[in-house]
Amino acid sequence: MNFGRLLLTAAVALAPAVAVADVTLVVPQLDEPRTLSPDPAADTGAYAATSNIYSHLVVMDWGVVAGTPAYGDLAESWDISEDGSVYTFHLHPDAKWHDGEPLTSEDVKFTFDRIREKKYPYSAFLSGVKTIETPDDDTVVITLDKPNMAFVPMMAQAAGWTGKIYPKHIWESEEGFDTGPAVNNPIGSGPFKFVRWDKGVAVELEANEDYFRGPPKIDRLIFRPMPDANVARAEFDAGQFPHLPYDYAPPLAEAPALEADPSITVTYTPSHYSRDIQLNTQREPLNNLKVREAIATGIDREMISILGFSGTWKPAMHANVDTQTQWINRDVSFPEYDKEKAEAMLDEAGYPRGDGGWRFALSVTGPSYSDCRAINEVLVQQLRDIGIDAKLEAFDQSTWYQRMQQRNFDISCYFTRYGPDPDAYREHFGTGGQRNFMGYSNPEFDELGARAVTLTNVDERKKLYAEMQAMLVRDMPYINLVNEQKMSLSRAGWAGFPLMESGYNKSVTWFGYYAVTPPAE
Amino acid sequence: MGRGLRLLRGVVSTVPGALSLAVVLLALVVALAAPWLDLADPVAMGREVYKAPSAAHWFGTDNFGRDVFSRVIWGTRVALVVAIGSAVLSIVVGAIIGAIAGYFGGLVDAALSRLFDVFLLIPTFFLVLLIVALFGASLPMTMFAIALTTWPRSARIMRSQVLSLKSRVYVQAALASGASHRQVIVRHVIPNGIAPILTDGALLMGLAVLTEAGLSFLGLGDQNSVSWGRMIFEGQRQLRLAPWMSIAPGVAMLVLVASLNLLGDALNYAMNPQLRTRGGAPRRRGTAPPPADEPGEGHGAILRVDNLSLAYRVGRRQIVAVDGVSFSLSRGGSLGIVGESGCGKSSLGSALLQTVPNNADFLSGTVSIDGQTVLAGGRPIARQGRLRIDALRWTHIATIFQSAMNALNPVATVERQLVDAYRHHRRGASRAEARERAGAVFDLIGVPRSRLNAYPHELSGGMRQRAMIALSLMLEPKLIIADEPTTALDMLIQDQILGEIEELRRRLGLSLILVSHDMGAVSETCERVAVMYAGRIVESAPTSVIFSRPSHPYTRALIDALPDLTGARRKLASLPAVTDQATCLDACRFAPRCPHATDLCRTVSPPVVTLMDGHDAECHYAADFAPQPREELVR
Amino acid sequence: MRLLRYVFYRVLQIVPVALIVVVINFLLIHLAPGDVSILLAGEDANPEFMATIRERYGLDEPFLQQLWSYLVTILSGDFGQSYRTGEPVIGLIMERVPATLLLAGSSLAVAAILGTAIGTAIARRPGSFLDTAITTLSIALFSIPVFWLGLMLILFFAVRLQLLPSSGMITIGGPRDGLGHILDILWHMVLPVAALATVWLGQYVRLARVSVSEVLAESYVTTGRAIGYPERTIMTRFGLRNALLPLVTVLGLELGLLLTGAVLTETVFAWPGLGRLIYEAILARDTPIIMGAFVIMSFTVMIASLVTDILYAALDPRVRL
Repeated sequence: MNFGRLLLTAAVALAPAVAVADVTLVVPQLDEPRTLSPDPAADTGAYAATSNIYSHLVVMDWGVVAGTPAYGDLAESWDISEDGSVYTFHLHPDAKWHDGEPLTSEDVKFTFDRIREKKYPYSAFLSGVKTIETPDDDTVVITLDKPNMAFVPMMAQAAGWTGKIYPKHIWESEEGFDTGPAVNNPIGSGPFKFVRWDKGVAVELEANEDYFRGPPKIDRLIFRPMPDANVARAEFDAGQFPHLPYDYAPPLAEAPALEADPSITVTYTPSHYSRDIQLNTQREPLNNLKVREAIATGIDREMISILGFSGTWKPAMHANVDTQTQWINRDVSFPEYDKEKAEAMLDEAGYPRGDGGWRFALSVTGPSYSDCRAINEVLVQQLRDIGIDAKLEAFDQSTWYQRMQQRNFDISCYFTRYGPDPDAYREHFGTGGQRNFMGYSNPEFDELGARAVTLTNVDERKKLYAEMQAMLVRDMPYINLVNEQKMSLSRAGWAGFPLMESGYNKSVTWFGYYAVTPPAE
Repeated sequence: MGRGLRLLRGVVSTVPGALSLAVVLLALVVALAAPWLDLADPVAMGREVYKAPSAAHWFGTDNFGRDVFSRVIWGTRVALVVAIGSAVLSIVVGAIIGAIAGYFGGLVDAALSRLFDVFLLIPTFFLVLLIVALFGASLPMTMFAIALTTWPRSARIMRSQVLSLKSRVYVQAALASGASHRQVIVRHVIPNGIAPILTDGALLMGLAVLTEAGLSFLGLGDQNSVSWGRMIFEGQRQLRLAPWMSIAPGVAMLVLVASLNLLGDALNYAMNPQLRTRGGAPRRRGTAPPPADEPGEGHGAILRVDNLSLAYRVGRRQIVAVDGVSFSLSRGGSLGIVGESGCGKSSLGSALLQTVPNNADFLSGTVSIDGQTVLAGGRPIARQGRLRIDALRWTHIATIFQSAMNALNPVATVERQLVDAYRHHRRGASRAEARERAGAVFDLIGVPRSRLNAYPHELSGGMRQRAMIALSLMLEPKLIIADEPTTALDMLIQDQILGEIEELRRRLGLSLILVSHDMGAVSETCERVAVMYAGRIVESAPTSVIFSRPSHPYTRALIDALPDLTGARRKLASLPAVTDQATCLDACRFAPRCPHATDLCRTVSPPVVTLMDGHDAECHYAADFAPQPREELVR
Repeated sequence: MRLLRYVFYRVLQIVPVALIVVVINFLLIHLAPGDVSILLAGEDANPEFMATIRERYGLDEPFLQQLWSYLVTILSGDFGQSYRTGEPVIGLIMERVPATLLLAGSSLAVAAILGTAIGTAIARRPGSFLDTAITTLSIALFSIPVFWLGLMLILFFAVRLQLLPSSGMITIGGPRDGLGHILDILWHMVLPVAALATVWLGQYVRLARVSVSEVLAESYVTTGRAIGYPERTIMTRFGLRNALLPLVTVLGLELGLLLTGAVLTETVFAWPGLGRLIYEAILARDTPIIMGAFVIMSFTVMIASLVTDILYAALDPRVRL
């Protein structure tokens, strides 16, 4: 292919021969793990490896976009009481720890108790738990203080991050999940066993032949920290690994050329997130509904989609994303783009063009994701076109987040989550919701939300959420822009990656590689 | 503002200087005129994304469909704003603090200098990176951060300027007249010290553009302005798809920064023109074959000089330093060449050795050493491609240089230098032999051999001069040219060394030319004296005759400047300053300074008057002056 | 003995400077906005958990208390743990040093040797066409933004011609030891070294040109010529030997500048060096790394200036320690 490669080939030939009968899968990831015990603190580098080592009570994967909000991992099945407040989980009887010990309901209880006691991040999803009981080895009964239909989906969605189930016999003697020899030498119950961790180089796992769902098709699973997208891309091009996760996706404009390449599979995965803008409803002039409506009317989503995403991220006109087919209310829409009308509305709202043609000034900020940056670039231009003196303000992620919490912003690009359960609306738009940075407060909305999560009847829930969506479009604390969509690349023949449809509902977490199958020889 | 104009002329006189100035001015004009040029809106987005360069979009379009050409042009604005803003900020702050440090000295200076050091030791780009990353990216913040790291540079320049200015007369005068420190600093010190800082300003501007671009490239640029660095940053991701996005702004930046740096360079050269051309290897000059009628080695005078003229080119001007000089020196004889500095005596010395600088031209002249012609008709003599002077160097003609401080290679021991010279000319001589010879020469001049191992700087001035003499004697030359060998030494040592040179000359049968500004030094050492003025020998005679019957008014003035026995010394400075030689071609060169000048002197150049055998003087009235007692001439 | 005393004295001088550097660094980071506990706890974390995090890392203590404990731990050689990976900062930094040294060192060697040779050659004919042309060219070279040059090299040699690797230091899955490993690294070094060396080359050509021609104007050079040494000897034994002094000084003083070039180059080529570590740490607000790297970098520059002085003394007999 070229001289460099030739040199390498020669060098490899010189190296002692290694038997390579095993199927090895190398997966690049952006961050190096901090530890291999993810429950005590957020650790983006640890999630992928540990999600394949540990098991969870219930999980979710990208199947969520096809309508599966949660499925069982250790839990083979679960029953919900009539009123929706008592959950009975039936554990897989064959589940075993990697050291051969049987996995029992005691392990689950032990883990959840400790998470709640230590206030680890996952405790946020266990906050309504009144009691955890273990009538026998294979049964866990969780009683909530009030009915919550979002309980399982929310646990499932976060399990991949900080909701691993730890072996009681190993951790009981430790102070917390962040002390002791098992922190970086994990004993799990998942499809892969921990082999070793060369810091800065790789975390290496091997297939767990005794996995209760049957052994995986991959013998060796290696996660390589690779902070640079260019490097990862070059290595993928060179055939060093078969899958390029979405974190490393090339510019979308390159997609046509990639799609034309028969050796590459381009996978587009829709998601349950949108890209939208949050408006600070407590600041002049955004506290004026007319102004917010005018801004919504002045935004050309078509252009944002084309310029920011080569047209692959579709405009989102409703207060939901297209994947949430069960919940989306298509009867209420944000206003269509109409520049003249937007200008007229602003005139009417009492903000005519003044000095230099500007009506008022605004700053536009957002997280440091490249998609939000692209959206903001286009958005600022569109706002300027209707006479708003908009300026970009960029911060690093933690500063941005702090400013959002302090409500120190005008407009910010945001990533609203609509699944796995529509109860997510409360987190984003409920009064005092953890992600309600807009200062939106609507008692009626809060009341509907509180009621909807307790309803076991799906149709009734649907009605309430439709009503809530109508309120959001009416009050416009945020303006939905586009549906998120992930692009990832794989070598032809490989299947079952979590972002692929063939991996839906089988991957076991967002980062699970259990379902991956190599190409047939 | 004559100085500014001269500077400007200096800058545009070179191709890089003129070109860079033109580019910088063009960039300024473009930046100012950008709104009125018929350009596409640099921020307007469109569906025409990733379009390659075409007639409609000269540099193509970017990922948002914006016109890259227009963005490059508008980027000039940001680049210049950052460049000028940071440079001005840095210079203002630096000049003030530097001036304070230099002006007050003492503790203030010590404290401030320490501060400069701290900034020098901090990896400045990281500091800028840190500040901008932590406090948010915006143009003012960028300029502030850049200036924060560059001001010590301006301050240091200012400080050293002020240190040298402080002693100047007008600053002292201002202080004496009761002006406050602030007034003196603001009115006198800063305006006079600012020139080198401004020159550095061009370089600072270039640095600022690069730093801003570096920040933008790391994603820490101002989000709301069209900057080249940011364009490259954005283009990086699209490198495969739209390389033009990063090529165009990079080229623009390269051109502007290179122009700023070249401009700084040109300004520097315009202020110090000698920097550009000094040094270098000797250039090749047109040579001539040896003449047929030379006496040959061992025959005739040891040195014969006939009508030797040497001129320097300085810019477009030609300055004649040696003008038709003729003389000869008998074997074993000694000649002193005397004159004020600038009279051409040292040029004469280096002309004889053919070690003249590259901007010097031989206009005419024939020189022969030990019967062998080395220069004929102003051309060095060469045979079979080798200069004849090379064969005579150090073995026939050696030199003792002026300013012994720098005449010896500072990084080699004295012995090493003696040994190297010996072995270079005595091919096949062993190191031990050469060492022995060096020791012998040291014995000869009465310096203990232990000093051989010293480096030049470890020796006292007198010792160093003796080492230089030793070096000149290594190859037993027949003729030594000593150019101001004792200047810069104290009086006692001067006399000792001159005495030693004279004694060596007698003992070794050397011939000697002693070049000096000091009539007294020459009188003790040399048999004959030649007085030089403005490139010509105006009088020459045996030493005793010169002192008893000086026949040129200039000679008389030199003699009168000697200290008499009571030690009182009349200043030669009582003579009017030297005037431009070029103005008096058709007159006696000394006329403007001569107390006896007549109309004749001012209109007709004087003939050489031979007063007696071996006593010539170039004065219309030489015969009249000759018999007069000296004292009467100086009123 | 004299050397020891000199080094001791110079180290004493460094102490207050180092202290100031540490304090400036600490001040900057603590005055800046942004909340590290978010980074540590994750956006899902509840306030109580964030409070525990703040307590654990001592972020809830008063400012002076934090500064004091930072100074104390630094004095004991402990730069703390990275917020992001939890590893000791000193280890993370040391891990990256070899890559930076390899890149910067090779580029410097190429630039200094080649630049000195070219600069010396053109110093023979100051003011000539060749001199003007090469001087102008060298100024143009060090006016090139190094990251842009890097991109252009990638564009032509990696993307268009597919001759050389565009980024990284090793091939993933390539040989990890022996000759193959070395060849692999060398192969990855070609482009970054070319970019960095080109820019520095301009610097050195110019520097050598100025220093050598300054030396050639000295009278000991004239002495050498009067002695009759051939020009080659004059150039080496007199010219270059004496011009080395300013060259070495600048080499030491500009270490900070060299590191600048390194961070930009490392970013373009994804070279896993110190510069990139700092850049990533700044973006991720990994304060312990930023502070540690900044302090260590400043110490390095200080030590470099000390070494330069000692080297200078070795080269120039006039300098006494």
